[in-house]
Order: sequence, then structure tokens, then C-alpha cells
Amino acid sequence: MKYLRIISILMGASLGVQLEYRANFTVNLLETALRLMGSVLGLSILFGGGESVAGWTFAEALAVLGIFTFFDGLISMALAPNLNRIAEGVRTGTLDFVLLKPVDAQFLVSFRNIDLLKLPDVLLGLGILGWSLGQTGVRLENLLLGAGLLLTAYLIVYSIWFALSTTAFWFVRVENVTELFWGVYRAGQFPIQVFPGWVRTAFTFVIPIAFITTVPAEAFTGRLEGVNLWVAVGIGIGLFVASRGFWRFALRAYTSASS
Amino acid sequence: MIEVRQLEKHYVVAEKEPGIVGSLRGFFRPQTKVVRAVDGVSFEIGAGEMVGFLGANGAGKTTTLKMLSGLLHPSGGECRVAGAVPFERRAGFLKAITLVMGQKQQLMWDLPALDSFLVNQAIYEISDADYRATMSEFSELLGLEGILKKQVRKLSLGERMKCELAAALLHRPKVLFLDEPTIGLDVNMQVKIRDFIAEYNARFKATVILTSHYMADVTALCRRIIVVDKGKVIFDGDLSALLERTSPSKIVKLQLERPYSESDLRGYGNLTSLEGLNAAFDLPRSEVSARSARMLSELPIADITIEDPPIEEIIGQLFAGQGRPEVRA
Amino acid sequence: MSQAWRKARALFAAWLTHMTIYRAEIVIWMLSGTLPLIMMAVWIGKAQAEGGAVQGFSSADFAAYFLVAWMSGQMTVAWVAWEISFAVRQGTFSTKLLRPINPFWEYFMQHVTERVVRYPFVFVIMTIGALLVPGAQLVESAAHAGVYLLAIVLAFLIRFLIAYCIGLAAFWLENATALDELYFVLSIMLAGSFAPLDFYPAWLRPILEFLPFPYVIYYPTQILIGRLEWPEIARVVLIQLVWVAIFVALFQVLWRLGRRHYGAVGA
Repeated sequence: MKYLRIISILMGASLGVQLEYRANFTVNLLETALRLMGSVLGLSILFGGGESVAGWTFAEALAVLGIFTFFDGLISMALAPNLNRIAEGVRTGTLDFVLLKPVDAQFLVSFRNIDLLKLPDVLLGLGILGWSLGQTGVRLENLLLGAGLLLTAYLIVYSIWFALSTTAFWFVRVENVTELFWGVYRAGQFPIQVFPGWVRTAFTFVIPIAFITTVPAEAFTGRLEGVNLWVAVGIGIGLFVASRGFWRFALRAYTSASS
Repeated sequence: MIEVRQLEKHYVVAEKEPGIVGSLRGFFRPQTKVVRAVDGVSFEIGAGEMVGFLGANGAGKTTTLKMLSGLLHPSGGECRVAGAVPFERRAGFLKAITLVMGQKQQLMWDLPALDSFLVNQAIYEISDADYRATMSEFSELLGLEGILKKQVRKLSLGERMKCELAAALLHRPKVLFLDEPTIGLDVNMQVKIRDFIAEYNARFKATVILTSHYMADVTALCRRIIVVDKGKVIFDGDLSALLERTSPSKIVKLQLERPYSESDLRGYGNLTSLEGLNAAFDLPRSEVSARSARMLSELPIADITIEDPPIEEIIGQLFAGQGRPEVRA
Repeated sequence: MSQAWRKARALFAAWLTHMTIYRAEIVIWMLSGTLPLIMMAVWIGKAQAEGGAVQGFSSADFAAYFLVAWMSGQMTVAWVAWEISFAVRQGTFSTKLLRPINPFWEYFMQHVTERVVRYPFVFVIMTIGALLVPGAQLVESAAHAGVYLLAIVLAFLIRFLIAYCIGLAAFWLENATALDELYFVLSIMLAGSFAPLDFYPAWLRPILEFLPFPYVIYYPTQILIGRLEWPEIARVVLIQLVWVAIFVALFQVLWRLGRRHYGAVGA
């Protein structure tokens, strides 16, 4: 388990740095709690005292919000701190060091850092998901199915982020490209069915937001249509393969900044 | 021009033990301590003087300069620069000084330097005539032609530093605080910047305080130096006086015409090295002339040089506490 | 020509050049502020599902509200907290402090010039939005549009001053950006981005009246789409002025206290 060892060593180092910023940690915790309250408020305003919206009860819709928060935190904690650095590596030429290591380069650029400030987001997301499932009740097989679909969702998120970050080989300012991702991802805090028809289509097939939050939530709440399971797995694997291919293609464009 | 009395600056900083356990402990029970960055510094500098401000990293040089330029509020003591209390940041004071930090820039990164100059012209209320005069003077002294219209981020480090200096001096300040103005530059460029500072001092009778890691900057520009260590002044006086007090010896280097053995040469003093025909002695200052005269008469000498030990070493000795001179020359 | 005018002009010229270089980034930041647009889709979806209207709000009403809310948000953007926090950590704030002008004005001009670049894009997107959702009445009358512009200027001042005060917190905190995000979350939540305030819970409404947030997005939006009577509009503008005064005073206090503290962190 060489790769697990590498992850733990790298992350231990970045952990030490962050714990020094005590005030930040507290403020961030507050921010996460606040943001969550905001999302719940937004959702409750939308329900406005009604029983259900687009076939989802309030408690079920919270499962979607939980998964949304979970990935929001996970991206900020484990993906963004690494992938945003690819751009820096390309600009300054420090990517050379990564490419020289006898470890898969994609792995190394993906899992070097961890931003523990965002761990509370991840935990809160899981907490809401848990609370929601406690309210609605969940069967064991649905729990396992949902957990499995969280994995495919992670694969989708990771692949999209990795591909976006890889554009750094051509564009210097990727931070802005990822800003656009956040702009679209925000739609994932609602079950996909609440959107009008064409928006729903776009979030399912053009940018598969639906498969990141809604589909796993459907599995947890026992309403998943069998076919969606396979579509989710297919999209996950397909995107991963595509992003890896894109990375290899991009490496050919890498000129190793000479200055 | 500059009066500093018992100036102090204290910081409260968090302390952290190394490692994850240390981090965690620091997170739950932060330890703090007071750092006395500047701890009772006093000196006076007259108009037109150029003073080298020396000390190891963290000795308090930059903190002192920042207090003198009004950026930081002193924790104690007082200072007056150009007749004003710096921290009050009155417009008249700010127009009379400048602070150049080799590692910080004021030029707008994505624009040509010329645009930043125009902004400074307006902010410092420089008339068009003065602006043109100063710019043509600086262009000539620094060689700015052709680089003013390029985006700052496309300039080399040396070119950028020239523009930074010009921007910082555009309003012709009377007092210059230069914090590592030549850091990272190649030797050629260092000399250019140095010459420019000397020329500026001569033309405008400006007072200059200079810190630099390059002793050549200091020896070329400053007769007087102030050495700080751990927030306190440990030397203030002429460079030559410092050399005499701290380094009672000189280095005498010989090039011989034919080989001698170590034992033959020992009799002439403290032999520090002998490689082939080259020998070096470390001799007490007072005996240098007598002993070298004896060498010249008794040995077949092709060449002889008498030098001070490198100034880095002398400063190093000062910090190490060896031969700390309790002098106020 | 007075010196103040010369300074303003020089800063304006330099920053405008800077902003035109960053026009692509400005568009991207603009496009990433999608919450009102997502909420618009959600509410239109709900209106369609419930037979065309929710509590008397039709799809077109929602479209008008959220499009204008998006525009109001875009027109009043202020990121100065981030700028100050960054400059303090990098030490470049020192170079601004050395100049015989309060750094406030430079940051202010930076924001003003950014608007010169941003607004044309905002209007293009608004035009497209208006064409996509026919029947959405975005502008009540020319008079309303005029007052709306005044309200937007005041809203921008409120946002800018709040952000500036948060940025000054960098004099005390290691990093004020977390605080800035905290404020951002609050403002998004309480300014009326989720829905018109009519849909907010009854207990929250009176509290919001005593906070600056609705006066930044919700009320200006309501002015333009013509949901407020003139006396009500006058009250809104008056309260905006009060908020501006409050934050100017707060800025003065923080500036005086903060300067003494400056340098204790990084720099």
C-alpha cells in the first residue's frame, strides 16, 4: 500500500501548517454552519409549508443537500488545494519535480495536500445526510447502494475537476475555470426534479450534476430507477478514462518553463 | 534629520512545537511570547548623511525602518524624521521620505511602469515641469529608456528594480530608507543602483539609511554604520573605527620567489596558510609595518598585500559576541 | 485643476487600463455568481408545477425579480476585503501606506473602474435574459430606473464600506478572508437571493429590516420592477444613506485603531 503511505505522509505535513491558523479554523467552522443554515433556509422557503416539491418531501430533499455539502467540502478539502497547484507548477516549472518521481504523476498532483479547514464541511454534509435518512428511514441495501453511488459521484467530480485543472497547460489562470464549476455545481443542492424541463436535461446530460447529488440521494431514499445506476457507473468510469487521457495529452504540451 | 530615542517595538507571537502533536497542542492551548524586535534603539543622523544599517536577519533593521517611515507604531520611545512624528503620516512628512523595499513592489504589475509614475505624480502633487525634469534626470542616471513602456511583469528583476527606485524617488524625497535595494541583483546591476544612490545623495543632499546583505553596497556608500543585534545597537560609528576595534589584526599575503618550509616562515608571525609559493599571515595591527618590513628585507618576495579581514567576518564576530566593542564612537 | 481631481483622474486612468487587461476574468467572475439564476429556475419550475403561480407570483414575476436581483448583485460587487487581506499578508500594503493619500481611495477607484468594464457585459446578459423570458417586466418606468441607479450607487457604497471594514480586520487577524466569506454567506442568505423576501419566514422579516443586507439587493430590485410605492422608495433610500453613514464612521474608527496594530502580523 505504497500509495496510501504516501498520502498519509504528505497530508500529515500540510496538516501541521494549517492548525496554526486557529482563528481561521473557528471562523471557517462558523461559516460552514452558517452556509448550511442558509441552504436549509433556502430549501424551507422553497417548500413554504407545503408537503412536497417535485415529489420530494423536505426530509428527503435534505439528503440531496447533505450530499451536496459533503462534496462541496470534499472538493475544497482534498481536490482544490491540489489541482489548483497544477497551474502553478506549469507556470513556474516545478511540475518537473513531480514528473521525475517514480510515482504516477496524476496520483501525485492529485493527493499532495489536504485543507483540513474544510473537514467540518464534509462531516456536516454526512451529518445532514444521516439526519435525513434517520427521518425517512433507510433499508440496508439502499444504504449500500447509496454509498456505492457516492463513489461513482466522487469519480465524476474528481474527473471534472482534474480535467478543468489540466487546462492549466494552455491557460495560465485555471482558478477562474474552476470558479465556473462552482457556479454550476451550486444547482446540485436541489433535487434535479425541481427544475423546469430543459434545465433538468442540461444538468443530467451536459453537465452531470444530477449524478453527483440527486442520484445517490435517490438510492438512499429507495426511489432509484435501475437504469440510472448503470448510467451513473458508466458516466463515472467514462469521465475518469477521458480525464486521464486528457492529462496524458496535456503532458505532451508541457514545455517545462525555462525561466 | 533623523532622531531616534529609546525606540521599541514588541510583538506578541504564537509559539508552536514541531510536528503534528505540537500543532494540535498549539491549537488547543496556544503559547505566546513577547518578541522585542526593537529594544531601546537610539541614534541621530544628520542631513545628507549616508548610514549603513547592519545586522543579522531578525535583528530589528526592517522594523526600525518601518517605524521611521510611519508604517508601524512604536511600542515605546520616540522618533522624529524630517521634523515630524512619522506615525502621524502627515502629507508633508510622506512627501519628504521614501522607503524602498527590495522585495516589495509598488508598481502595478500588469501595466507599464510609466502608468504607475503618472499615478505617483498625481498623488505626490508633482508639477509637470518637475516631473519632466526628474524623469529625464533619472532616465539618464538609471538608463530607463525603452523599459518604461513595457509591462512591469515582463521586465527583468534588474529593470524592475530601476523602475521601483525611480517611482520611489519621483517626488525627490529628502530622506531615503533603503531596505535591501539590491537583493537578488547581479553584480553589474548592484553597482549601477549603488552609483545611482550615491549620485542622488550628492545632487539632492538626501539623508540615506541603507540595509544590505552585500557589504560592498555598504562599504561603497557609507562612512558611518550602525550595527544592531537582537533589537539593540551594538555599534555606531565610522566603518574604519569598527575595523580597528573589532579586528585587531590584518592579513598579510606574500607571494614568494622560491619555496620555503613552514618552519622557516613561522618566525615572522602567525602563519595561517602556505600553499606552494603563497603564504598568509594574521598579524596584530600594531606590528604589521615592522614585521612586513622585516619580511621584505629577509625574504625573496615577488608580491605583498596587506588587507583587512573581510567585513562579513568582522560583523560575524560582532554578533558572535567576540570582542563586542562597547563603544560609541 | 484641483489636486484632488488630478489624483482621481490619474488613479482612474491607471486602474481602467488594468481592468481592461482583466476583462476575461471579470466576465468569468460574473458568470460564476449564479445563485439568483439557479433560484430563478427553481421557482419557475415550482410555478409551472403548481399551475402557473406560487402565492400570486407568476413565472414572469419570478423571472423579473431574479434577473434584476442578479443584476443588482453584479453592479454592487466589492472584493476589497480580499484585496486588503492579501496586501497586508504580502506586505504590499506598506507601500500604499507610504503614499500621501489614504489607500481607501485607490481601492475605491479600483472598484469604480472595474464597473466600467463589467456593466456592458451585465447589460448584454440582461438583454439576453429579457428576450429569453418574454413577459417579464424588468423596468417599471424611466423614473423608477433613475431612482434604481441612485439606490444601486448607495448599495455599492454600503457593500464596499462593509468589505473595507472586514479587510481592516486583517490588521488584527492572521487572515481576514475567512471573515469575508462569513459575511458573504450571510449577505447571500439575507439579501433576498433565495426568493423575494415575501416568501421568507414571517419571524425573519422584521429582523431583516434592521440589517443592511436587504438594502443592497432586495430593495433596489423591488424599486426597478415597480413593486414599491414612492413613499416606500423614499424610505428605502433614506435608510441606505443611514447605513452608509454608519459604515463610514465604523471605517474611521477601525482605521485609527488598526493602524496602531499594523505590522504585528506578517508584513
